[in-house]
Formats: sequence, structure tokens, C-alpha cells
Amino acid sequence: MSHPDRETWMDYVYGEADHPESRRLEEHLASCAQCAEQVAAWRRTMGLLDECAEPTPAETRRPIRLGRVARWAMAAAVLLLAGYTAGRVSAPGRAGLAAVRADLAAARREVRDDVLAQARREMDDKALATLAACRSMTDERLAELVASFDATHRSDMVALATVTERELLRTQRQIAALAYEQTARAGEGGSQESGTPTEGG
Amino acid sequence: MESVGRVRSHTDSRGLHPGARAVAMTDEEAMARLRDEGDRRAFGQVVKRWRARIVRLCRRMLNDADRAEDVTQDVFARLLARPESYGHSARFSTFLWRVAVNACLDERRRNARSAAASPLAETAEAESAVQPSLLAAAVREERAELVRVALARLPDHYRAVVVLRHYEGLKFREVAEVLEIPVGTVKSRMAEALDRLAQMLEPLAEPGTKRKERQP
Repeated sequence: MSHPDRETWMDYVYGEADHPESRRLEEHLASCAQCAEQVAAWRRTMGLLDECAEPTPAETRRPIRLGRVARWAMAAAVLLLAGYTAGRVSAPGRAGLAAVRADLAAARREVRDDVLAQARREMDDKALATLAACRSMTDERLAELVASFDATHRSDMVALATVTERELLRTQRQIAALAYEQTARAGEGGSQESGTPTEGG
Repeated sequence: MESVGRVRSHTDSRGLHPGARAVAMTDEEAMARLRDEGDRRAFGQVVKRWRARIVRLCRRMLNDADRAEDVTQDVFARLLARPESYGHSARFSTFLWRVAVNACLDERRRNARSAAASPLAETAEAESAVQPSLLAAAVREERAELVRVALARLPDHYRAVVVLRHYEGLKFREVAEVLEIPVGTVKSRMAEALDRLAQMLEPLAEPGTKRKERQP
């Protein structure tokens, strides 16, 4: 007895086989225990997949997605630092690392304030999409910046990049801590995010 | 599934916004307006229409609600920043599913190191049977969780097919377009995925666990 191939059975079990094909396959099933067993096994597994209606449990989500806040903070920090670095590169006389640190500290404070303000606001999808776009564009600007580095400034830039990276990490940690405090305060106030996505389409 | 989503502009009849037209707009038209006129409002309708479905896809692909949200935002942000990336050579739905699936695969690759210790790890033991001892006390949610874990343990190319066909309801032909592989390959992957899942979930399968037959 020749058996229909697995691809044909997939059409059948997922209801994509046309009527004549379905009838032919059903006739085969009636007379072939081997195929009948295989199709029954597939249907059992499909039934098990149906038991998992939700992709991932919503209750595992955090009230406020710190990851997201931290990423926006990073985006803002990168944007500021990129602008700062670009300014340094193009400046006729570059200051020492002490000045770099001072400027970065100011930038960090500014980022922190911005992030806290942002965290307080209700972040709707549109704002998030815009911020994400900013991040994407920031990445592009950074790539362009790196590409434009003059080889003669390479050593200076290595020093700057080292400081920048270190400051960036510090900023990230501080922002995460601040965002966490903000979340904790929000939690004490009884506010909860209600961001479970609704059915689309 | 619908091939082309229709979105309706929510502008008022006073025409206060110069770009606002109270006309039905396909996703393709909305993307054209974003690309040609910078009409973000049109794009907002696309996001509104598709966001929940893309989040759901990402959650199934990544088994992580937070990362799914992030990846979804990246998908739409990239589209907003570069609307020309949609070349109109395919239906927007096909294009968007493809971008989202690829974004999930990229995310998984980026997190491959940390994922080594997570349930998503594709290690040799990852596809071993779920511990029977866990199943003895399994309640309904635990069963669902085991299914989620089994799904997460499938290799990416199988999981993408299962998510798109079984959960998102795309036809095999549409899945083939999204993943840019032959339709026969999609079906054979689906069969193989069901076999692997059956092996992993064997202790869960009871005689009563049977799916309602799908009609052609």
C-alpha cells in the first residue's frame, strides 16, 4: 500500500486539503492503521499546543518594564554622549580628561532628570515608538561618527571612548537604580501597569 | 488570514489636519504615505492594527514578555525610521511577519550566551522528555507551561513554522512566503515539529487529548 507523504497529511490535519483530496485521505485512513495512528498522534499534539493559549504568562511581566526604561535611558545617554563626543572631535583645542569627566557628569545628571520625567509619564505606544526611532537614529549617527574618525585622532578617540564607555556604564547603573526606586514608589502608590496587549486585527 | 489589513483614519470631518483624510487605507497605502509624505498618523494606524499580533508572535518566539515588547518596538521603530525598507514587492503582512520573525531570531542570537542557562537553550538535553515527576501534580496551567517550554525548546526554524501556522493561522503558502522557503519545506518542518513536540510532551498526551478536526 502506498501512503500519502507527510506534507500531504499536513494539508489534511490543518484543513488545507481540498474536498476531493480530503475524501481520498479519509478513505486511506479507514484502511491504513499505520497512517491513522500517525494522524491521531499529530492531532493529539495539536491539541496540546491549543492548551497553551497564551504565549507567555502575563503575570510574569513586571509592573513597569525596567528593561525598557533602562534602554530608553541608554538611548538618551548615547545620544548625549555622541553629541558630546562629536563636539570634542571637531573642537579645535581639546580639553583634558578632567574636563571630559565634568561634562559627562553634567550630561549624566541631565539624562537622569530626563529619564525620571519620562518614567513618571504614562508611556503610550506612540511615544515608545518615537523613542525607539530615536534610538535607531542614534545608532546610525554613532555609526556615521565612528566611520568619520580621522586616523590622526585615533589615540585621542581611544581615550575618549574609554572614558565615555565607563561613564555610560555608570549612568546606566544609576538610571536603573533610579528607575527601580521610581517603580517601587509607584508600586506603593498602588499603580500598576495595565499593558497586556489586546487582540489585534 | 486577511492579506491586506484595512485601516481607517480617525480624523474628524473638519479637516484640521492637512494630511488627514477620512478614507479607508490599506497597510500598503499607509506605508506609502509614510514614505512619500512622512505621514506618521497613517503609520500609527498600522501600528495600532498590527502591534498586538506582533507582540504575540514575539512572545511565542522568545518566551519572554518583556523582550517581546522590546523587539516589537524595534520592529516598528525601524519601519518608521526606514519606511523605504518595505519595497511593496510583497504584501505588507508578509513583509511585517518576516521582519518580526527575523528580529526574534536576531534577538535570540544576541542572547545566545545568556540563553544557555534558560529554558530556551538548544542543548543536547533540551529536547529530552519533560520530567514525568513534574507531570504527576500538573494542573492545567502547568500543562500549558510545559507546552510553552517544549515549544521554546524547538529549534528556531521549527518554532517559527509552528508559531506562524498553528498559532497565527497563516496558510502553509503564506508561511513559505514569510520565511522565504519552499512550501513543501514548511509542511515537512511542521510535521517534524509536531513529532518532536509529541516526543517532548509524551507524558502529557492522554487518549482524551484530541484536537477538533479542521475542515478544508
